[in-house]
Amino acid sequence: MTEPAVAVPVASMNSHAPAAPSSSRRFTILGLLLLVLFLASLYVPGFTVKSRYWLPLFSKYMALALFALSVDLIWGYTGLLSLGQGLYFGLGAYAVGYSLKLQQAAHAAGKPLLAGPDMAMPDFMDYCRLPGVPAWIAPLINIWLALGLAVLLPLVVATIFGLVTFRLRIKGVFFALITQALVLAVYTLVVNQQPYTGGVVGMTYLAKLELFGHKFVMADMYFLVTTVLVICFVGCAILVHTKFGKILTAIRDNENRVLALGYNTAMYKTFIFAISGALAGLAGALFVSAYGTTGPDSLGIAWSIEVVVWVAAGGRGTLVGAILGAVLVGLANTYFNDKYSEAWPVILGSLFIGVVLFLPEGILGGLRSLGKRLLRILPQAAPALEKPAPTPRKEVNSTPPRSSSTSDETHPEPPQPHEVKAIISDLKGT
Amino acid sequence: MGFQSKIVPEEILRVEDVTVKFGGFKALDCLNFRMERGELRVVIGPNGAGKTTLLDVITGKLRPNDGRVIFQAHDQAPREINFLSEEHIARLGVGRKFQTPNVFKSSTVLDNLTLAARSPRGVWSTLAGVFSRNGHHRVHDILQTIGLTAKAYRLAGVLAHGEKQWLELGMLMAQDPELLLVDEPVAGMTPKESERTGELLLSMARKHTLLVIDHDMTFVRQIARTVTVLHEGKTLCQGTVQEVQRDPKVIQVYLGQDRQDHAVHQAATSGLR
Repeated sequence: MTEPAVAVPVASMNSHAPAAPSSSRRFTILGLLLLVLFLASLYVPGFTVKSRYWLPLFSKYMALALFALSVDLIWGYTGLLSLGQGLYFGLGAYAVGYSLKLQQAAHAAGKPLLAGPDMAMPDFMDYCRLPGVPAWIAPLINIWLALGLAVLLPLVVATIFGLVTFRLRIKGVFFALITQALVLAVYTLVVNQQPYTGGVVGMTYLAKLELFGHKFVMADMYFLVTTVLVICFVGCAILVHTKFGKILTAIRDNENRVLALGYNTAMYKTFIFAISGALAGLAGALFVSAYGTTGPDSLGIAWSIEVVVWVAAGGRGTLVGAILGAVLVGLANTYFNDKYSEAWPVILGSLFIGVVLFLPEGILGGLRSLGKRLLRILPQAAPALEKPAPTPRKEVNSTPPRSSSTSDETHPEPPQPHEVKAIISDLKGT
Repeated sequence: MGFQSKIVPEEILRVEDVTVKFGGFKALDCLNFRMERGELRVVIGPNGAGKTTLLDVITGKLRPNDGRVIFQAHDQAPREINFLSEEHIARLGVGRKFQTPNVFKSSTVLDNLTLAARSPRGVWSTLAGVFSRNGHHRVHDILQTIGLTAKAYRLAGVLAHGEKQWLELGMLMAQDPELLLVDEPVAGMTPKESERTGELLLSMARKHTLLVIDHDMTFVRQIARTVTVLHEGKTLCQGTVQEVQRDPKVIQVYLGQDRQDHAVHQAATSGLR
């Protein structure tokens, strides 16, 4: 309602908006181009890889990349370290797992894909002598219902969990531990309820995902998962560039300041936690569809921690980094599991320590600073010449208010120390 | 415009018998404190006098063990705020600048100001703010006022210390609260920077009510109209800078009692320059 009470020096009146430096705009366009290229490159394996072994693996990586994306939203952008994201992944995985298992049983018995009293029993329920498919599982035979639940259920659970913890101002290590405890509790529950969940083994020999009467296998599956990933990626990218997204990073940097500005940070954190939960659920659903089995491993503690390592390795706080980390660590996992499967946890652990020590901003951050260093070394003179000489910069008035009597003729006065520093850093072309 | 408020001084803040205990220590001890709309008040006091605690209580960061805090927003009935949440009090119109620069270091200067700017604070409305984030005309004015136009697209984390302090003051201007609580705005600034900060605060005082905490007596002399001295959680005295500096109680508090003359002299020059 009030304009700042200070008279603005006349010299700067005509240039109201601070123009984005042209070089930064060029970088934005370049960045956008690189991004599109990156997203397009995700589709490449679908065309080039023909191996029955590798292609499903790549589909799996894409689903895991979505999982990593969900962790990056809350950890990388909002600073909430969740060590229990596997819970939401697992909810999605089991929802779709039930559906595909019921479908497989129905196919085997030659029955229609309908919920009913005489529907076919999945094998694990049969072994445990359940009288029939429990009423709360039966409707899941409809794949659309299962997919919907795979997203909605994690969303609802995450919302409730978020509301409780964030309103109680639980954060940091305590938050991480509570998420971990929750996922462990659910893991124990699932393992103990073998008749309903398949116990430690989980559900194997699932039917192929069939949507709109089309079976998704091999390349089709890969394209489906990748497309969902790309759509979610674009959604996340838009989200983090809204004012909402800026508030998330502000919460990460300094939550007290955000509170003092009047934002209810608990609601913001709950919201992003819920979105992240939904994405994790979707990732779980895709993972199961691509992989063909589901088990309590996805609810295990190790799984939830592993995804954090992917994000850390790729570069937390960058969406591309999350995908990069998931795919690269996934590839490494496959490679080492082939040769020395016992050593994998050790390798993963060392990777985490190594990243924290030497690449705190992950692979992407490392690449970025390398690029910046190259830019600085190579054309040392070029960016400095493109920039306007420091003199016109003075009229933009880097000194706080003088009375308006200061005329537009800026008298040459010795620059302040901070101005000198600014000019120097301008010349460096940062 | 100040005509009416001069004749009928309108109260904006009243702190009534507020006590805050940390264990056995009383940071605030039955403190009474009031401010009128449009006032610029400076609060000084030795370390541990309860200055920052007072701000914490007003902003809702701390709940008082006893007593009430009443805030009267413009055109609204007085309201007890000591049980409201921090963000709620902030939305009522109380802004705060913390002691150390508290900017969002991985956001740009412009984004820092835009986040602070007066606008709906709800989740949904910020989600809708996809493409309108550069639309704040006022933000650009503020950028010029605090002299950071050239650095609008820099990350706030790379600014110099004094610039961060200004950015935070700019964020306060953008937030445009009715009552501004400013904790040590010139800490770590050069004399020249500190003088400019004083000008900035004085200019803000025309339209807002300001409560400034500081130690630097040069700075206090520059901006203060009324000074309140806190000591051991209570108001020791209140008046103009000259009155306060002459007050024997204040001299005693700042200098201590059983010191040798030499020590007294030193303390006098450092504490009350």
